[in-house]
Amino acid sequence: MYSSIIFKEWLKTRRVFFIALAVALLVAVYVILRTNSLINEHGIVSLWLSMLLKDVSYVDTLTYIPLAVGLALGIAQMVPEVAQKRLKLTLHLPFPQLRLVAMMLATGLLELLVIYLLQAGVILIYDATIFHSELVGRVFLTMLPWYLAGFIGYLFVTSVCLEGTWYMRILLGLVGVAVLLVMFLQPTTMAAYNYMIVTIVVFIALITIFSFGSIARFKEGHQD
Amino acid sequence: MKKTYYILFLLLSTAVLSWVLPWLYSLCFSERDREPFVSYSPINDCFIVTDFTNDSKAGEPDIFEVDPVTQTPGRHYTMDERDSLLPEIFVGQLSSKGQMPDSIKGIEVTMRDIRMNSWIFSSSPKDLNRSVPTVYPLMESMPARFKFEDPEVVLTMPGHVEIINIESNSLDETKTGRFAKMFADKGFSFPAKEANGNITTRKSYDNGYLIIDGDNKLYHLKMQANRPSMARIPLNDTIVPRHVFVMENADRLLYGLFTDENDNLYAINHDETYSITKLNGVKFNPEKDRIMIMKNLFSWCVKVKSGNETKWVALDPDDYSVLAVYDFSNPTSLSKESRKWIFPFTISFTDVDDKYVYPRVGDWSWKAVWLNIVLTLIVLFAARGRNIRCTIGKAALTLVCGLFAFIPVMLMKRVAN
Repeated sequence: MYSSIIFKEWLKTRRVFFIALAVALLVAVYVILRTNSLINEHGIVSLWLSMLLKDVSYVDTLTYIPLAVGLALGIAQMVPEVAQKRLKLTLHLPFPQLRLVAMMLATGLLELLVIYLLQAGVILIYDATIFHSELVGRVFLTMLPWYLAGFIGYLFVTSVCLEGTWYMRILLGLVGVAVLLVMFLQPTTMAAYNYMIVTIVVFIALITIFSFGSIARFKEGHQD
Repeated sequence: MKKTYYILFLLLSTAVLSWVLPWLYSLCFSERDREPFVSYSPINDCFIVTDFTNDSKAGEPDIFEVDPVTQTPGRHYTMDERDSLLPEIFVGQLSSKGQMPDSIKGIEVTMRDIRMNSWIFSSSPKDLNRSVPTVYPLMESMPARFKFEDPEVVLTMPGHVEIINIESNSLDETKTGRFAKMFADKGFSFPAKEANGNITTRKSYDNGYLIIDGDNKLYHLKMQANRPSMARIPLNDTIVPRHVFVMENADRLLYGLFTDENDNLYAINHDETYSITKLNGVKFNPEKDRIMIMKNLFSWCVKVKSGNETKWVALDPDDYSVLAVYDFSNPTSLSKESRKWIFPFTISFTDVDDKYVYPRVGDWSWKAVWLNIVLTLIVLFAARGRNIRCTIGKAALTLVCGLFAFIPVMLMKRVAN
């Protein structure tokens, strides 16, 4: 049953997954090409000094890409459930509902993780060849909140989609937008979220409850 | 699960509004900081205050002198009179009118003298309260050609010295060996707590780095002809340096400044013994306060802004004795006062004094308790006849968080029932 559920989710999301993966990797390649071009134009010393003295990370192009990927994957996974009224059918599967929703979310989160790891990996491996390890670590810490924002965006989209009433969808959406704004308060400052990373990870674990809550409300008949 | 969902959503909405509402409020009622411009006059030996808060007539600030002993306002001046009292600041204005004096305090002054002996130093908490890499670019202090060039190597001091070649991103073993020997000879303790340098090619000379080591010893490091030049700066045992600032001013009077753990400010004189002079009357915590030092031939004017309080201290440039002190307190604005009646606290994620993002709860105000009580009564009235435990929970949350909880509680009323 587990593999069937994962396969069902994969069928829904595979197209968006591959498009998102391609976009993410293309952006990563663009970041590398741009950095390479800057090295050719100004020299590697100039890049080191900008990074050390001016907080330039050279990865700002991908600031909103992880969020866009998270939102797209969430929509691709959950909108068919709602739009084609499949959710009722899904909830009638002979499988514990909590575990069912957990499997759905886990599939989506895992797909996001794969995309994010590949994108970050490509950039960081390249950076490691030209920058000191501490600077590579700082680039990673700068990108990390953007990827965490992608997970947050995904989880809010799933909870909004699984919610049965427009009133609650709007409330969830407004709170989600406010939370996502927090994730981009200092997008250009390197390692600005260092003190908050653990809090964000705990927060991500907590907001998975919203999707379970939306399903619980749906089952109780809270639908427009 | 549903109960946890409602509680979590209510708490999250309350937290979000604790951030959004005060932010919107400050956006609607933003105010300009109208701190006066204060400088020490070598003509009448008084602080000259240019106050923008009480404009005497449209566009004209109120300008007056302050008695250096009693700090009371004295004679008022026009802008032209002010220019003449501060010739080292308004040198351009006076020269354009042919009013620049040939001598001040019996000392002959030229434009060049003024330019060579004037500098401004400033530091803001934001410069320190941020994630800083511990990789330090090393400039060649004695370049082969006249002009400075960009650094080719960087220095790291985690547990030992490493000199990394930027071009190849690899260890420069020759230089690392030389620097490691020098650090060992000078008794440097790792890891370094702080290092400060001024990495730019647009300067007339290079003072390298001032470094505080693991045992709070202060060092001066430069790279000259690809070799390290390092000196330990002798400090009194009672002085524990906290923050250092390298200076490369045209007058070449100082290597830099440093503060100690008691927020005293010291100057490191540009002499062979690295003598230290305490700047009397100045208390400065670089992590919380802003400082601006305007130095000229006749005085140091040190401005330290700490929260709502700003203090100016004029120092004698020869022996750093205090010439005059002026204190200014920024009055609390009506909008800031009225927000205390509305918001019991606020959450913010950023601060003007640092470059980090994390939640910080502050601005606690007991004045908002009255509004909180009224809102709690409304919540109790609206929830009459419903689940008593749930009602008590919502009322308690509203009593503590006021408007921030009231809005989501009322919005969730039709959802949670």
